[in-house]
Amino acid sequence: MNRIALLFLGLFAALAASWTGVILVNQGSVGRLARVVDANEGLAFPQPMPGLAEQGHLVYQDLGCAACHTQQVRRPGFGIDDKRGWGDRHSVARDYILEPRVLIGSHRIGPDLRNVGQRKDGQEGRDGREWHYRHLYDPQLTSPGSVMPSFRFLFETRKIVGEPSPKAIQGLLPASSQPPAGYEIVPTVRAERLVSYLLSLKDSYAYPEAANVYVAKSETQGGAAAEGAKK
Amino acid sequence: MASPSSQTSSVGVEGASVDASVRLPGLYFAAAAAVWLVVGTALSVIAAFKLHSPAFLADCEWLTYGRVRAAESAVLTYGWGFNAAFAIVIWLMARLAQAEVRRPVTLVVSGVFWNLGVLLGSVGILGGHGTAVEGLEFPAYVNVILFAAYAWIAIWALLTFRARRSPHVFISQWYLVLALLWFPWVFSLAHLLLVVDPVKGVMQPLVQTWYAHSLFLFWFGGVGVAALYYLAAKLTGRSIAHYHLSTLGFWLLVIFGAWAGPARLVGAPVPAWVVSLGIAMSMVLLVVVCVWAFNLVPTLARAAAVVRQEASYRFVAVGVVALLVAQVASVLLSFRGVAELLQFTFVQSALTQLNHYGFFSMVAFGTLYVMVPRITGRSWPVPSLVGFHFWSSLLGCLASVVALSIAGYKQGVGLNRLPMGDGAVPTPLIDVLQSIQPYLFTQTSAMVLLVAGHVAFLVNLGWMAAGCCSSCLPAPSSLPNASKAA
Ligand code: HEC
Repeated sequence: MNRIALLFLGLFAALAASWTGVILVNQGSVGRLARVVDANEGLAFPQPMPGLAEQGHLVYQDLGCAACHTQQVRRPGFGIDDKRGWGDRHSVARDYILEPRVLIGSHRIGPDLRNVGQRKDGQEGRDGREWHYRHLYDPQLTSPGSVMPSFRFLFETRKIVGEPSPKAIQGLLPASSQPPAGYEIVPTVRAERLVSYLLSLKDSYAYPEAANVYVAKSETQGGAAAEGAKK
Repeated sequence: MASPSSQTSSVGVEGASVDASVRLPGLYFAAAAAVWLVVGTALSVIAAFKLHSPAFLADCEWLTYGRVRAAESAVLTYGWGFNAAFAIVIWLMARLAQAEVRRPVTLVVSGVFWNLGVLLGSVGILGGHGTAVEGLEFPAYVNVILFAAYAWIAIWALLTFRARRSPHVFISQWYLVLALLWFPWVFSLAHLLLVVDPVKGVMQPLVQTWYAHSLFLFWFGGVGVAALYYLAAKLTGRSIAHYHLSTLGFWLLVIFGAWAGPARLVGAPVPAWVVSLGIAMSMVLLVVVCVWAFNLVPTLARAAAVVRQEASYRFVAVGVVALLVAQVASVLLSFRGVAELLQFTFVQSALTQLNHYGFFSMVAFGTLYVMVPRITGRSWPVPSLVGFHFWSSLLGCLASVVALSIAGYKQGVGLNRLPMGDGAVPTPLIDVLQSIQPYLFTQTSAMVLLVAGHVAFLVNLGWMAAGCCSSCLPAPSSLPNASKAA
């Protein structure tokens, strides 16, 4: 019976130890990261997502975009995320503290999306919204050969009643994708939210910890984030 | 600890009535597992197909890639994996304790709840209610059902352990107790910290890897290794080689295993020390792997010539090899230099395949092929289907692991290395994807092969269960068949 008591106690101790070491200790450091107040700009960073973007985050989550896209930019020298233009800087723990569901992802079938809002800004004239609509409607239009699926179900083909909708997108689509005469293609609410979310994705603020790692290129480990903030 | 041979030899004598008492829950969980297996691998085929032909079923929101992947993972883990594990736990616990199963119907009732939970959860994921947490994809409410159903099965198994008749505790029992106690803790903690009241920022990925790693290593690993020790002794009729080492391996795993989870987060924006510690701990796990190898390989090899023809022996042998290779590979993949190249690529999927399928599923097949004939007292209705299942599983798994590894390596080089030459620019991502198309086709074919094997397994099992039930039903009160069980 002693043996068995030992077994139960040992299991419990090992579990509690790993729980304390891996979770509790970090909960006391990175789990408590706060926003940084920039006195010059008079703002606190990271800034909360706009409401529409926050709803779009849920669409991103429920459609499983994270199965193909990461949202973590690796530091220069560890992969070539910087050379691919996936971010001006690598991601740090503080970037994520306001997100309800942190989707850093584990597969890169598509590009990293952490700063896609910045990348598409100014594309095709405006803030990139049109690019995203075209891409979600049919990725082959913007990126021939892509394996990203079409998300056409986020759009609605409907009869024009009265004035055509200002949001209609068929003007962006080629002849082969045009709706029948008298119909228009409009993004659903979910598509609008999702694209707002994508446009909001940009980690542009340079936290002290991010700057640190950029300067000291010889450092050995990428995540000196927690200490960096205090220096 | 005494030699396990005393265990295995006595099994034959008293085993029959114990086996017969496992019949109802054993068949129930095996059948449920087989059904989920076919469903899960069908989802694998759909997901794999979409990766080279994205237009396939693209207009159906319920079957969009991200959801199919999440549902696939949940169905294979909680549907196939857990049901198979429950069948194995119940049978092994009863056998090793030499205690008959009491109130088997209650186990089936819990099982029904468990499977309703899995069904609800999978439909929930496809309908867009998933959590998007890898390894814990089900909508929140499902986890509560699963936990309640699990609790009864685990309590039952631990009570059986307490009621054991033999004073000797075989190493398999240690691993089973480990699995049974560890899972509810990590599951409920992960549920609370990720789903109910999510922790902040990168604590989420940290808790997620801690959970996913524990789930695989302690639950599936625990049950799988328990079955391996048992079958190695049972199938060969020998005692376990270097048996005294087995306790060492067990405790090293218990003490250091859970720390290794964050090794997967190399380069992620989490504190670097948890990752470094994780890598160090996963190297300690290599010692555990050596112990498993010293115990299992010689034991199985000694009797190879005699029992090689037996289907379960073959499944088990493949399972051992996959276990050892996968553990070494996962340590290699956590090294920074390797992770830089291969993190986020299909090499990770290959490793998952090797762990979940090559190791756990193969061992589960091997165990069920021994267990089901014993608990029903019947032999497999179509023996040739057993061979077909083995070869399709082996070839399918091998083809999938090799294809994904090559694809992942090319993907890693394309994504993370600049082409040679001055002022080189990164290879466009679409070119990288185009270059791995043939391997992704191979992956789809491999998944189709797996489905074929799994259908064969299901047919054989269903046939057997039907025969067993129809012979029992006319006289449900008496159990005359118990004497037939060998
Ligand atoms: C099967 C994998 C897959 C899924 C699922 C997927 N994507 Fe993609 N995504 C890709 C690939 C591959 C590319 C690169 C080629 C292209 O632009 O289409 C890409 C590119 C993108 C881009 C352009 C990035 C850039 O830098 O040009 C955006 C934005 C994007 N995806 C958003 C999404 C969203 C939002 C979802 C979920 C609704 C999603 N993706 C789901 C594979 C996927």
